[in-house]
Amino acid sequence: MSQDTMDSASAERSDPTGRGVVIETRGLSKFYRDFWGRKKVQALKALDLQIYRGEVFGLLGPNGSGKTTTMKLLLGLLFPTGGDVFVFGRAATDVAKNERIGYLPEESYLYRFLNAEETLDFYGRLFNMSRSVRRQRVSDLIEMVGLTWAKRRPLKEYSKGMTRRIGLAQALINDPELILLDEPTSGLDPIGTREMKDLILKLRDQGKTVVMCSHLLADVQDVCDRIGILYQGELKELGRVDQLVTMKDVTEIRVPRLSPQVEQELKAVLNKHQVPVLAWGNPSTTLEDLFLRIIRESEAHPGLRVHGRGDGNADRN
Amino acid sequence: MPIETEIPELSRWLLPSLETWGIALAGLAVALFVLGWIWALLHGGVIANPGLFGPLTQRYLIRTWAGLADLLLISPRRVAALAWLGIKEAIRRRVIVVFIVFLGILLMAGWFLDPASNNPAKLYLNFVMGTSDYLILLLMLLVTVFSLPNDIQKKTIYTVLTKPVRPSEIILGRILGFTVVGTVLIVGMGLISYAFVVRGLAHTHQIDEATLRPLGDPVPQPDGSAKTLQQGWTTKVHGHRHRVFLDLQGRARLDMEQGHTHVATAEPGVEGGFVLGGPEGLLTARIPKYGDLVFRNRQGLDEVRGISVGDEWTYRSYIEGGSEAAAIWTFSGMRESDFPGDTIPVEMNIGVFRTHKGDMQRGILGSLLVRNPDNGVTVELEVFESKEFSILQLQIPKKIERFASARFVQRRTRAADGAIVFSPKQPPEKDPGQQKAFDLFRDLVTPDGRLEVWLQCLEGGQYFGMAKPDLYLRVGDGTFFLNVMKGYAGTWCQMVMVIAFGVMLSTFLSAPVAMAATLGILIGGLAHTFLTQVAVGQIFEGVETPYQAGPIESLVRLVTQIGVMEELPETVAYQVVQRVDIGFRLWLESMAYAIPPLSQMSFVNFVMNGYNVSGELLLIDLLRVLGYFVPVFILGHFFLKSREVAA
Repeated sequence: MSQDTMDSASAERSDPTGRGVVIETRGLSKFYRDFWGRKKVQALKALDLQIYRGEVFGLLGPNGSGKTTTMKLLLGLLFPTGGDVFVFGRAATDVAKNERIGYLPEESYLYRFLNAEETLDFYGRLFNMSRSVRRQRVSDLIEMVGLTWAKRRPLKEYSKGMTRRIGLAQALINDPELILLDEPTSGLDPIGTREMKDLILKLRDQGKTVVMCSHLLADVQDVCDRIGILYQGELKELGRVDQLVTMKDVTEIRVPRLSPQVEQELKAVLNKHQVPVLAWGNPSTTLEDLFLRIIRESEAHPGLRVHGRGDGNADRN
Repeated sequence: MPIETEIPELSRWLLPSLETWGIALAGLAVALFVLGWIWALLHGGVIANPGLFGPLTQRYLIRTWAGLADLLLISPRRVAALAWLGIKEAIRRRVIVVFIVFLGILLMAGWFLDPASNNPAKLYLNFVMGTSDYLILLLMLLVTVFSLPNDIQKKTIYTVLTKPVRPSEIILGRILGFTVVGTVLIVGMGLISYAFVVRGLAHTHQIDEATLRPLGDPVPQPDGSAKTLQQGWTTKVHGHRHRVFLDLQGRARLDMEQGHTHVATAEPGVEGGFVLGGPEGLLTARIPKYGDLVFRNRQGLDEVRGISVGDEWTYRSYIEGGSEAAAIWTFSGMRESDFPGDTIPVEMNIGVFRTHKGDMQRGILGSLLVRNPDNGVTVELEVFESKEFSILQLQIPKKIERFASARFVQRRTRAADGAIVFSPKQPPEKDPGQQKAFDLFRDLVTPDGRLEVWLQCLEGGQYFGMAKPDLYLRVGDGTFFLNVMKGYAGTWCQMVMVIAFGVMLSTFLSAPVAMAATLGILIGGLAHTFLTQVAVGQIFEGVETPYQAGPIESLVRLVTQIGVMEELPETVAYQVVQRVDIGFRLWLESMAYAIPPLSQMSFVNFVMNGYNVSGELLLIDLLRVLGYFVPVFILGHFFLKSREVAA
């Protein structure tokens, strides 16, 4: 068997979803060498990973854990020191795989002297798209990321959030099947973060595969189906998010506000069964939800806003 | 001053060059393949685990094959997009500033360039073309070597390389984009240069009435009056004035001065009665027809070279005066239709070597002959006085009625076995000495269009020196404007080479190192002739230096005080030293092949001396560019493909 093409039969056998393997790594390792060819840093150690079609996969880990290295290996920007990496069944160094891939780098590495339209048109041409297709795609994407008002401004005048959006647009220019997002929410405000997360879910609904790496755990939890946790170049945990974070020995019940009488009775029942109460009270909303609600209200009712009533019932109004 | 270098001819240049190119390319490919293989094995850790040899080799072969396939899958649209990016980037880097610098230099040059000098056209053209040449080459060098390293450093290359883009397309796009920018700059500079030269040298004179003097006696006219020939001078402009003759028909004729003359039109009422036009013949593009040169020695035998007068510069070789020695140019493809006038202008620039002073005020006498190579009929046309360091123009009339002598002359060649071969063997039936007139094309040009032009020195003890381009037939004149543009085409070819090498080197070197390397190639290319001569051990053209010591041996001699005339002792150490020096020389020789001959690509020499740049020369330049471009492009592709840009 050739080293540079994947044995698809073996991949099929190990695919529990039955939808097909998009990314497979086998014993993938990478170490950086110094000038004399000596090992300097082991960035990734024998990573075995399969990512299936249509899922949102999150790579988690602290800084320097090998997330970005993995991403670059998947893209062929780095060459593995050992092991193999296949994308769509082809070696990651094969340029042809890029036809079906969209990549949003950690910081949007774009040509700052181009404007939004020129940027997207340029990347469209790299996909050999015809002029009419390009024109349509470019205007759709600029519309989608909400930059129509700034499409003629050079990117060097863009704020970080705007750069991120145009970076996302260039990653989607070819309507990719596989989207690799490196820290997709970094530098975005809460609205942008929410929009990014909604978009990721929308892409998943369209049947696309999304691989993202992040250390913003809340974001990962919100969108990812499966995660892998990397630490010092090693895969420490891999599985479905809902299974991984479920606390099987704790039960949580959510009901509308209880009257003091019902509360008394419940506590009595629990006491009778000798169940210790770990927590009792009103849950708090996430700050993200609060922030987004305030912004939405302010958009609907411009003018001075009456400050929060501080009664802790914010999310139920 | 004509061109004092060998001028390549396509038909003789192409095949040997192709052969050298093919061998060099094959050698390069094999060397790189093997080096890449070794590198892949070492990098893959074959020393620690010899079992990896097979898989690593297999992977290397697959990668190499994929790299070759990538070369064929070039999409014009992607290349165009990347070229467009290169153009945008160059504009952003304000390459246009160079234009302003150029204009500034021209403005100031006006103070220093002296239109009164001996050959103002040469001075002006040399200056503007030289300046724009260096400006363009340096500018494009800086723009190209910083481009890719910048992209890699700023990581903008990530978003490009994660698209279906081949490294070859990135290389090609970059080179194309920068070439487009450079072309626009060159065209702009060319137009400005042309305007600068034409305007800077434009001048006219007036006929100075006060200097007009009658020449000879009055001549009676049919209407009873009498007129006199007049001679005088024009006014002095640009440091020179022309002698004027007024003839009996009331026409004025001006002498050549500083390589030009002016046309005079009669206009009553103005000073001197004539209006003079702009300079004529100052900015020319002579189209020469060159012949093949052989020498005849003093015994009358044919030789490849003449004699050496001990000059270190061996470009010209010499014939002795007052002997049978002659320089023989054979022109082929002579057609009457190519020469519309009554005469064929023959121009020469010959070196003179005097063994005694003689009359220093006067040139050395020489003789111009034409000979039919088939039947040996030889007509001595005229005796002329040599003129050094400038072009002497003589005429070969198509109907030769006045000539010095006519005779039968045999060429004698020594064959390989030492016997002397005569050509032709028999004199013609009709004795040429009896003939009163000759028709050049019927009597002297052979049916297949060959004609010999002979030059002899008539004074004993004096020598004429010549090289092939020193005598030519002037077929006509090209357009000067077009010639300037063709001159800039040479600059363009040099620029493409600098861009291609700059981009290729910046695929694997950091910007400052790539800059130094490209600068090295630029300097080596501009000194290419010298480099080649050193490499092949031929410091003086045509002279084999019998023995050359390399750098290590020279160092050893310096330290041990063994003189250069002394043999080194035959010890192992000294033999090693000499072997190492042979290695150095081989390295230098391969460098001489690897570095593009930029100096030979330039046409500045042609344009400034008033010679037309032929289409053949342009084609040779383009083929040279292509010859270097192909391997450089492929190298760049593989270098970029094997580079971990994210590392």
